[in-house]
Formats: sequence, C-alpha cells, structure tokens
Amino acid sequence: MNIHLEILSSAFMLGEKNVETPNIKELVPQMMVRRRLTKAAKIAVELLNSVKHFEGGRIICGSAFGELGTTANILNAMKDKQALSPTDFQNSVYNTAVSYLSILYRNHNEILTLSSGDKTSLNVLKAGALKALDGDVLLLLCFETLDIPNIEQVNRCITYLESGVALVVRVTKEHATMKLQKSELVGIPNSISEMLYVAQFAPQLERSIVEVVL
Amino acid sequence: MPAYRVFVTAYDAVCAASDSPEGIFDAICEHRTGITSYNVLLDEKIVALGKIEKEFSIEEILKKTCKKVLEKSHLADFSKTLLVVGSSVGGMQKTEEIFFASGSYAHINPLLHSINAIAYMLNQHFIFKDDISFSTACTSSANAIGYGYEVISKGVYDSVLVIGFDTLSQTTIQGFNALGVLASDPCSPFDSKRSGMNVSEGIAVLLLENQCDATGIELLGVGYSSDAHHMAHPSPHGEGAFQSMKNALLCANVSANAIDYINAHGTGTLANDESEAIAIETLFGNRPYVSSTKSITGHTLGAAGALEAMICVMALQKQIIPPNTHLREPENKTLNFLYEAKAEPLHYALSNSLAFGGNNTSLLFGVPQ
Repeated sequence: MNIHLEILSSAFMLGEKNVETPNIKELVPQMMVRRRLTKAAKIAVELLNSVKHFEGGRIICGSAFGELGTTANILNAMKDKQALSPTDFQNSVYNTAVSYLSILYRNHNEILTLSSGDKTSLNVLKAGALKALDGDVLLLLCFETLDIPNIEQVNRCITYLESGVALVVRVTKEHATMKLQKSELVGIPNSISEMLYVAQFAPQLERSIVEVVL
Repeated sequence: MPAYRVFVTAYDAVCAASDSPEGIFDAICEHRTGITSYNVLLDEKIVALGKIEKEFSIEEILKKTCKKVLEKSHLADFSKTLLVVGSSVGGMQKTEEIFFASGSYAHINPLLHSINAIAYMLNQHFIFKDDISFSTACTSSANAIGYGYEVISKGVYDSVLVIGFDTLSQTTIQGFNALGVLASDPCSPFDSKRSGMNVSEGIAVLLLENQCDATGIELLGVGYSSDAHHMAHPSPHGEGAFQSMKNALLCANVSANAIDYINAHGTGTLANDESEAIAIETLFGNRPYVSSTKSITGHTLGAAGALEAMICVMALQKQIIPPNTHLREPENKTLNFLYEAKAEPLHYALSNSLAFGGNNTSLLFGVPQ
C-alpha cells in the first residue's frame, strides 16, 4: 500500500557532541520537573515548540537506542555495586521522552515508541502513515542521545551524537512532491536518516508530500 | 468498520508457569504458580521472580516457539508476513553479561543490544516481508498486537506474526527494587494485603490473519490512551485505563455490558491495582468477571500484553474463565473477582496492559459471529 503524507511542519536538531536546548527553561518552567527530564525528553520538548499545526494528538516516536544515558547510569551503578536511582530506572524505558511530552502538555492520546535499528525513522514514517489513514494530524518524532562517557568504545561512525527530528503529518490524496530517501549528511545515525531527509527538504517546497510504501 | 476482520489463528508461549499454552492455562486454572523466591539476585533481600527453566538459550526457545506457531498455521513460511515485536528491554541481558565481565562497552554489539535485537535474531532464521518493533515498557506487545490489528484491518497485510519477548535482566530486577515494588512471595493482585509484583521473563507468539478456521478468535478492537499524569504512577482514579478500555469498545462497536471477562493488568502493586480497579468499576460495574493471571505467570513486562492476549483467546476457545490466585480479601468490594476457574458461555474478553509513562492499551477479543 502506498500512502501520501503531507508534511505540514518540520524541525530538526543535530549536535556533534550534544544538542543545545536553549528554550527549555522557558518551556518547562518548574525546576523540579525540568531536572527529571532526560536529554531526549528535552529535545522532544524543543522540537514540539518548533513545529506548527500540531495542537495535541497522536504521537509516534522512534529511537534505535532509546534512553542511553539513563541505561548507562544503571549499568555503571550495578557494576560498581551502587544503589540504583529510581528516577534513572523509570526514565530508562524507550517511551520516556514522549511520555514526558504527554505529561507536560496533558496529551491523553495514543503515544507509541518504536525501535527498529537503522530502519527506525523509516518505520516511524510507515507507522505514522498507517495511523494517519484515520484522518487526523500526527506528530512523528525520532531521536538519538548517544553523548555518554566512553561512547567511543562502541561508536565508530556516528559524528552527531545527539539528534532529533519532528514532522507534523496528515494523509493526502495529492501527488507526492518529494521522494523518500536517506539524508546525505555524513555522520548522522542511520536510525534518523529518512525523517531527517524529509525535514531538510520539505521547507524548500511549497507543499511537501512524500510517498510512504508500507 | 474495518476493511478486513482480524483473527488470532495460531499461538504459542513459554513463561515461568509452563513451556506451552496448555500448560500455562492449566497452571492458571489450577493455581500452580511459576514464581519462585530467590535470595541471590539482590543483596540481603528475597525477591520472588518468574524464571523460565531453560534447556536451551532464550534465543533458541524464541526460535522454537515461532517455529511451533508456523507449524500450527496453514502458512508455508512467513515470507508474506509482517513481524511485529514488542519488548521492554530487548537485548539488555546480553549487554549486562558483556559489560559486567569487561567493564567496557567495547564488546557490546549494538545490533544485539537494542530492542531491535529480537527482530534481528529472528531474521537470521526466518524470512519475513518486513519487521517493526515497539518498546513502550509493559504495553510493548499489546501495542504490537494493536499495530498488527491496524495493518490487517486496513488491508496492508494478510498475516502478522506478533512477538512478546522479555528476559530477566539485572536492570529490571534492581530497577523495580529501587522503586520498592518487588514482592518476596508470588504476588496477590487486587488483594488488600498485596505487597508488590514479580518480575518475570516470557515469550508469547501470536499469528494474526484476516481469515480463520473454526477455532480462530477475533481481535475485535484496540484502545489506546495516555494518562498524562506521572512517569511511574498511574492516574489515581484510573482515568487512563478507563479511556483505553472505552476506546477498545468504541473501536469494536461493542457495549460495556456485553463484556464477559477482563484479564486485568493487575500487577500486585498498590498503585496499579487500586487505579485499574476503579477504572474497571467505573466502566463496567460488577458485571464482567475480573482476574489477573500474573500471580501464576509473573509480570513478563514487554511480553505481558501478548501472553495475556493469548490467555484471553484460550479462555474464549475453551469457554473457561481463568481465576485469580492468592486473592483473599479484595481491596475493591465491587468487582466480580473469580476465585476458581469457571466454565460459562463467553463471548467477549478484554485484556488490559498499562505501562510506565501512563501508556495504556486494551485489546478486545470475541468469538467470531
């Protein structure tokens, strides 16, 4: 099945070491709440603030490695026979970032996180396209937060350690105006590639419509 | 109305209670728990866990379980089937082994660490048309089933293989211990003296198709919601669970008073059971029978949605309602808790899955009409 998605708005963030989240204090004014947010949650909040035409609705998110920072904290605490932080544990699940979005913005809708390795952002587009057949506007997100101590032990090809992409989409019957492909930017995680390409290219078009093949 | 109907046509499962669906269902009906207390996993503390007795590696068990489902089906292979995986921790057990032994990330294979590790592993042994993996903590495989429902009902695929998979890892055992919710005995969901949950491992595999034989059970609808309340505590009055159940009924166009049985999420934690009981009471009153089967299977985390979906399917096939175990004095005095397995005409069964972040999914199954 081929589904055409209109890109109503898009945003992305890339950081070679880490991504700046300059508006986070303003967007999440309560310090105690802000301190509990993972880096991925902060990226998601900044991205949501950057896109238009999404007033709360269903969110489909993707990440190949999820909340790597809290996962590393947990692994290191256990290796060192230290007590685990309950906050680290509750923040270690893959749906943490978008769960914080639902809490901060009182969004009671369906919110899912998927993880498909290098195919993650392609699968976010596929899942988003399938859901969007119901006729509503969806927010699609993907992120990676790989900026943890000693990541160089396992990372050999990703330059942009922190990244996030947001697309606001709805189904259209009109012809596609762009072809879905991987971003040509070198050093990004493969897991965000297709969505990053759409976010890079869509603002250049009067109307951005991409064909997603399920 | 969906373009296509969705049926569960074959399934298999392994968990602490048994290594077969029949064994699991019998264990539930006969109150034989698979939960055992251990004092080796956490310093100076006994915790009750659900471990699978393993003759083979967990990966080998997963492969064999999928193979059994293929043999039970009419499919020659999975080459036209979508693989949909739901898992909370993916390859974490393997990552822990490597990291604790070496103190370094150097030997961790990213392909075998992430949630996608399960799909990656299965793609070495089977050919699927495509795959996708969901990770939403304890709703992971319920959401995988939900996705399977959507791709079939909207006419994208004729068949979907859903996998619920989670292994016991130090991360989950010590993590839930840090949250103070682990029980030292097999759990007693909905009991006024309940003391927590039993982290467990499990594998459940279900084949969804757009047609069925005489034994197939229909997946009639799926409901999703978000609490928008707290990362680790459910909304106190059960608003999120209420909404996901209501959405499942709306999706299926079935009224609340038609539901015969609810397989509750029922973890045995103070917060979950109180909140979920209020949600069920608000929507259904005391009409449907309610049980949690986690006192027998344990809480298999990301696999729980698929495992408990299978239990609902078996209940509808056998026309037997699975009972609670270790429930002596219910905290909620309204709900219609079942204490012994009961043979009674069953048309509709609802399965709840509730997770960290306030992620809620309800699946509604029925005897095809």
